[in-house]
Amino acid sequence: MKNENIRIRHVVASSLDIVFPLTMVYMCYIILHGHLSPGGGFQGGVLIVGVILMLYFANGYEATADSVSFHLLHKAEGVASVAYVALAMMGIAVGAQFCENILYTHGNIGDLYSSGTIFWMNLTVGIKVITGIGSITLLMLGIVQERN
Amino acid sequence: MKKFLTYISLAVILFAGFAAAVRMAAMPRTYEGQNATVPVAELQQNPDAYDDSVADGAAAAIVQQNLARTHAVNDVTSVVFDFRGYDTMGEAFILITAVAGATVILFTKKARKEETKDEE
Repeated sequence: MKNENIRIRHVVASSLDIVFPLTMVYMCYIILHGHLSPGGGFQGGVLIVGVILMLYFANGYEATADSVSFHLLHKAEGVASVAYVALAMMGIAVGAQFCENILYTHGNIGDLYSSGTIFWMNLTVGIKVITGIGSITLLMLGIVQERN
Repeated sequence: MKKFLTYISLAVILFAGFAAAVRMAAMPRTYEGQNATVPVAELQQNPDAYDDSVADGAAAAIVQQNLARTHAVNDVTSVVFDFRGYDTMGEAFILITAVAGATVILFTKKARKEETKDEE
């Protein structure tokens, strides 16, 4: 029985090596292409739950908590939300409205870097969701670990 | 006395809300939908044939001037992050509040468990 468990764990860990980078690239793709295709910060950031759960299933809680720092995630969430408000206030600084798009002339329509503040706000919301949901998931995994 | 003031203020709020609702119901509609000439079923078959020149109100600004004003190809993202950026900011702060609440609850649970372990 114990040998069986070890073998299953090796299978999961080696398939993680294939799926993990693909999932991370997919997450970054959805967040970065929010202004070009369906998706955006909220939708892409939630994929971090899948990434952390895959790490947990393959390597256990200790390795996951070592590789993903909870306190760094918690601080990055605050920084990202402040960055969102600062980007939205940029409109007021140049005499336009709150949340006004003032950088949209950079880049051509359809490029990856275009649409000005929409791109940056998308990025900050993506970072916010990644860090927030990721830290909650880590905490819940810690509770599960203690119960066992 | 405090209870009486509470009831008075609640009644004032209720009457103000009622009056606002009555006035809003009497206002003209912002979008009638009479200008929409193409049926939805046909539109689904051939989305490129949609004639957006007859849009009115706020829909006109979003449908016709979206590319000129934001350079974003995806209309939904330009609504969420530009035209209604307030809304997204509220959502982001709700997420922060939820994360903070969950962190507090789960950390107190952890601390309580460690205390009981120490007593044993």
